[in-house]
Amino acid sequence: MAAPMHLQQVHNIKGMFDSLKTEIAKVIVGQDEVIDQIVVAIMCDANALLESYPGLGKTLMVKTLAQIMDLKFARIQSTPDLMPSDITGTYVLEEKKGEKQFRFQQGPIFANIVLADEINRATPKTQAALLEAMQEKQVTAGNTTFPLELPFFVLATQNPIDQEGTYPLPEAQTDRFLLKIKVDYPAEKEELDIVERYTAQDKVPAVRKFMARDSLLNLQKYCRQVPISDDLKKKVVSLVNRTRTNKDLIEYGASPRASIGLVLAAKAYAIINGRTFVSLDDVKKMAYPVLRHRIILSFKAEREGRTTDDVITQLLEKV
Amino acid sequence: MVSVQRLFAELYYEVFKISFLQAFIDSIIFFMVALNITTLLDISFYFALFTTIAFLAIDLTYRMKKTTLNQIEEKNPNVRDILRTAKDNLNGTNFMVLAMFEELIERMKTVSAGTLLNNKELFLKVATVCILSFSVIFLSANAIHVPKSLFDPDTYYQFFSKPGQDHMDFYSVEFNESDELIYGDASLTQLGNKTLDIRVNPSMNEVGFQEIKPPEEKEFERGTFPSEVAAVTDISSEEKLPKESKLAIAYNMKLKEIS
Repeated sequence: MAAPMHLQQVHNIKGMFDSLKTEIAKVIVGQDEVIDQIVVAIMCDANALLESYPGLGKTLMVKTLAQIMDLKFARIQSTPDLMPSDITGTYVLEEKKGEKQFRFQQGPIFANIVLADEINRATPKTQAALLEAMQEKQVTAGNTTFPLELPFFVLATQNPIDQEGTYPLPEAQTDRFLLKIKVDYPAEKEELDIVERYTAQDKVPAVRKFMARDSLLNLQKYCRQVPISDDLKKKVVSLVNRTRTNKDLIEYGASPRASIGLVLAAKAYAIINGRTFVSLDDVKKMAYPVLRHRIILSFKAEREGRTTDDVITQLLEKV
Repeated sequence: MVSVQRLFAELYYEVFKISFLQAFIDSIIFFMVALNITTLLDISFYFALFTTIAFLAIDLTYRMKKTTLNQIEEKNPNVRDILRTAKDNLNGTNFMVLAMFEELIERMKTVSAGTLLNNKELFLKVATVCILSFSVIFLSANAIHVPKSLFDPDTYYQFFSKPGQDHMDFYSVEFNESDELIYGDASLTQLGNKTLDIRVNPSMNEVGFQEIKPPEEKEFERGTFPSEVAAVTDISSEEKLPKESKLAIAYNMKLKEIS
């Protein structure tokens, strides 16, 4: 018997995301969880902070995703001498039919997916310009405001090592990223696959485009419509609230923005997995990337060698 | 909100189906037990039938009240989240909420009979029904009934009473007559082996026991009767017969003389 209309469409959405993962897998070996979390951030119309060591295929991953989704991709390599106008764009003087006039030259921020590599190497002024664009989805140059094309998604990366000469993002700014995604080294077998794939061929395998821009905008709309029970919402709020009250392990807890982000991320995770409602498992799965950059561990917790993920695990046990 | 109404109609129907199935199985067991009892006691089959109908009605009502959404959630963790979410989003009309309602209806169809029934319990109940069925057939085929004496309290009293112990206290007969009327003159009981001198005279109401000769032995021949053995009335009794009867007797006597 055919599934009912709305449910069938949800199954189609899941099928589409499954195809997306299959297509990415042609280029990227493994990293399924990272891909899921990046897609969650895109579905939530939010931004993500990617923490990884160099050489793990971040750029290739995001570029491939942009190709599959038929989105415009731009990459910004952050350096200490990077100026805000290098990102947002600037007015340039040009001569047209014998007349000289200023024309706004769009910067790399005018794309749908922007990869801001090593954002902590840019100066605070440049970081602020990028984060403002992220938040407002618009760029102001001179007296003119230029709206950014939707969907707009920034994936900023940080290197957990080699902190010399960096400008760590302040907590208030990291809070603006919906997720902090951790990219680990691949397993030995996966690494062997990577070596085999990229030493036998000189080109990156071609991927198929199958998601239109409008489809993505519709999916973002559906994502917010995913129903969640009141009981689960209370659990989310309670979890976030506990990050603020557990002074023994956490010095600074997450803000109410974390509660909003956790519910939203759980909704997106549910829909990409073909579910029509949010379950507790979705919340638990998304709690790590949503909370890990929003809590600062206490001295005691750090002395005991605990990580933020350990503390989140402990908090989740009581949910 | 047609979809929501449909959802709850489906839910109610599922709950009813589950409750009815369980109540029905229990009722079959009850009926079989009742049938065994009616067969053993040799009472009407309708007793088992009507009590089973009453049992089914009571059990179904109880189960309908007992089988709430919480119970479905407990026994089906896979629908717990969706049930709660549906309950909290009853007024939702957007695409995803409608999809969730559809999914809930689909899931509840799989929940219906299978998951709420414990397979082990169901197997045991079916096995019980089989055993009871064989028992009914065996009892009926061999016409085995409990004897009526089993219901006589005296039977149990005798069984449980100690040897030599008086019984029937509550069944003891109370006589209004005096002991003398029942057992006779109390002095007679003291006669013992003493010679009893009793004279009976039929005419005088006295018996001359001294004149009684010792018994004689006499042999009878076949076809002849001793002449001594004859009955003679002591006093001629005047029967108070009607006149017609006396005439009939006289007539018969005359006929006898003539013949």
